[in-house]
Amino acid sequence: MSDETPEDAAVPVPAGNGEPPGGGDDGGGSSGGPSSSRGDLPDPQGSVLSLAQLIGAPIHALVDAEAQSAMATARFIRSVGFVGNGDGMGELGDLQMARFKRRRSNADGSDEEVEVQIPLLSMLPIPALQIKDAELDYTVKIIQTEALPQRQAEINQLMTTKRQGPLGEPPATLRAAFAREQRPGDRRSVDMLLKMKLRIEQADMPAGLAQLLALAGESTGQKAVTATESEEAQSEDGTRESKDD
Amino acid sequence: MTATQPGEIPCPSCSRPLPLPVAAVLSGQPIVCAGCGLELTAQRETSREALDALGRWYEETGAARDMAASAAGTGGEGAAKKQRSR
Ligand SMILES: [Zn+2]
Repeated sequence: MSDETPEDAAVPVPAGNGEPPGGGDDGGGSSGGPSSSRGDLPDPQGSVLSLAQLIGAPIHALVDAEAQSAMATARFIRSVGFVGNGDGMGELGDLQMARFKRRRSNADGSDEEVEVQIPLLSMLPIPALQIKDAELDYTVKIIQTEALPQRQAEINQLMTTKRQGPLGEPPATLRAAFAREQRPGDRRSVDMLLKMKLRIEQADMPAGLAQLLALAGESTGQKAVTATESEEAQSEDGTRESKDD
Repeated sequence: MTATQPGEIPCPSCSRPLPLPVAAVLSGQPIVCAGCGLELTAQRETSREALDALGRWYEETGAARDMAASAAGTGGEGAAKKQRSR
């Protein structure tokens, strides 16, 4: 930070625009106030926040988005994987099982029909998305710098124990607003406040979900079908098979 | 237990990964283990609720599957869906 007074400190933070400090016509040069934008464009500096808030807000949105994705995964698991679960978030019911039949040859040479129960959850890909990487490109204008008075004592204490130097000045708060990205000769430049590029991928299996699936897998079971069950099944099925009981 | 991907289970007989194509399960086609020849057939009458849930999932994700298949340049499950008769 230079020796400029706060009023003159309306400097576009370099975010690829390469404009010299104070050289832009982004409304900051004349008065430095948040309401000094050109009249023909919406005021992008409606809210002046601390730089930390400004940077934090989109990151907060990313975290929120991941949380929503996780909730969607949870709803999917409940509605598809468990019996009698809609979108509610109450107690989980029993695992939804699909039943299959197979024939098994016993040691005595007889054939036996066996029912295999497989949890539906282990048959489906479970959608779980996560943000693989996010690229945030901010164009901000520093409106004001101020030291934080409430932290001054703390800072002073820290400074006395450390060697003072070019980097030893107490930190300041930067107040900033999103600003237009200025391109030379482009008067129509869109209010490019924040560029965000996300890459989404199927998430690695979270530990909890892996455990759930392992439990579901362990629920895969087999049992010999009794004569009655077998007959009931076959009457619909139409393919009667011999029984050796 | 053998490690399996989503959509496959350890074969109940030989424990090798056994893919369970949803289209085949829904249509009642037998699923055959390439390792041991075991045949599994869905029991429609005792799995009605599960198969209904599976069918709903399959219908709702059909468009996404078709898009993924066309992006990958293959017929994939989208082609299988068209053969399905319910
Ligand atoms: Zn097998």
